Amino acid sequence: MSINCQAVSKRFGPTLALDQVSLTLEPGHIYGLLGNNGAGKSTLLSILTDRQRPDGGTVTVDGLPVRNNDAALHKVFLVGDQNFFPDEMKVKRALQTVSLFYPDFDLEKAMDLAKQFGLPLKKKMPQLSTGYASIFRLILGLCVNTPYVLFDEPVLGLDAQHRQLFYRLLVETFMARPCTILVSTHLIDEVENLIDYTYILREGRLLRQGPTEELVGQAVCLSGPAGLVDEYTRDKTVLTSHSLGGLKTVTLQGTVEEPLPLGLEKSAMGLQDYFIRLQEAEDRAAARREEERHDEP
Amino acid sequence: MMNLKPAMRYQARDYVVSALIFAGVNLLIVVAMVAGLLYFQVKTGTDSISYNGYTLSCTIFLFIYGLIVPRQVTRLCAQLGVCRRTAFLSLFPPMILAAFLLALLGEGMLGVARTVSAVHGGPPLFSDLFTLIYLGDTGSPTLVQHGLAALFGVAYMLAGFCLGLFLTFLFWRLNKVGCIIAALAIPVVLVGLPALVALFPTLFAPVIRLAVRFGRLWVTSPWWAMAFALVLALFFAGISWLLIRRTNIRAGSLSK
Repeated sequence: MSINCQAVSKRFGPTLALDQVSLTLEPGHIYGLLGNNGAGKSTLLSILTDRQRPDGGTVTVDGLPVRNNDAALHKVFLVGDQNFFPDEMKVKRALQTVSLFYPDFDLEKAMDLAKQFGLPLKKKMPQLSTGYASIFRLILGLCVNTPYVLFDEPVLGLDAQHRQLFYRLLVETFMARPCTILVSTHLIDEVENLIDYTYILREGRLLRQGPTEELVGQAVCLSGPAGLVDEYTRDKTVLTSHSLGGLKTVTLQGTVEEPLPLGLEKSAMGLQDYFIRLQEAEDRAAARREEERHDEP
Repeated sequence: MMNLKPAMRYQARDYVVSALIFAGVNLLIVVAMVAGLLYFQVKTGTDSISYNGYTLSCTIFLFIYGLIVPRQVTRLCAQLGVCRRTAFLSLFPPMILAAFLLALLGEGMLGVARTVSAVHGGPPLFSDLFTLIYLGDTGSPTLVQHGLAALFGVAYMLAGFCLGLFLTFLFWRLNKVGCIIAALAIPVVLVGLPALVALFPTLFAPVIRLAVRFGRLWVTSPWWAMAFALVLALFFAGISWLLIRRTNIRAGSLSK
């Protein structure tokens, strides 16, 4: 019982959007899919729901291939960042249409949530603001009751109050009816406490994956006088380094042995910090590779 | 194809409502014609007004539906867990239902109008393509002829729909440059080929002979005409499936 994606690749002209990406989404987890713009997150989600066809690799849902397969696709609901409903359709009819396709769709709850969020039911799709269009799609995701729900940039255009409300409802929905949820977002700080397993994509490749706590525990921040920091980190893998006056802060891969030398301070790293440090380290590695390539005769 | 039923049910309502509105408008046109006929008879003694465009306008109506609906349905189905093969197949039964509804309503209007004309003693007020080509002004058609005319209308409506389907998926699949090339190429071929044939009649003599023979066959046998429409429909539907089966299904450019 899982969504299984094996060695999926997708190319758009000269751009390799996904390069041999493999991942598994198992029941009872809230997954995070993180990556910079253009990392391939939306493309991957589109492939998982057969909206786009991969150039290579396979995707199965509970063992069934998603390609031209209603039984597999019916178990997955993608809350994308764009509207796929007809422009002339009103919100209320759109909710009723969803209940026509998904008998488990909780129409009553959807109406109640629409009231909570202040979603105008009589408006047509294009008449909704960006925020309300997002709310409409979120309500679908929260009420659809499929085994797998994928959210792509779910809180796009939402104010802080509505974002908070959505995260609360997401947890409540998950607790009431455990399923598999995947959230793809740039607002890492906001979802850090929700997601228990994280996938990080970069330039179409799966850069890191693992339980969120383990990932965050793979690196540690160390700060103190520059000389002391340099001395301590001489034989360690430094991911990033920042200096301000005589003070230096570094991100070290792995853990550090305690007690630390006097003057050095260790701090735990959040998922967003980990993500940023990882991307910076990758940027530098890419720049080095580029330089070496230019230096070659 | 477990989702075929909801996909069809969703479309059927729209199709039936639209078909009824469309047939209603046509009925209003016929009523206006009768009123006009009576008016002109009194004023000028003219009694030759007739409306012959029903089948053609129904075909154009479903051609336009073929341009608009398939993209909407494909998107909606992609959102609602329906695979693209089921989505594609779901396009046809509601459309055929609407075509039958339009054809039957058309035949009903034709029957009433012919009866009115017979009572009135004037020429037909209302004709469809089938009556014009195969029956002429020979009084009221029999029930079998009405049935045949309805089938003829459905076949051409289906062909019109499939042509629209092909065009909409073609332009969905193509990138901007491809769209420009196709948009230029289609009229060039449509205008250019007959012009070429007219310029070089000797060279294209076999083609002309074939076209004439086909035209005669089309005019003399409604079954051949229907078979031709169905072949066209199958051809365009087949290409449309080839176009959509690997296309990236994306939202409209103005969606948010």
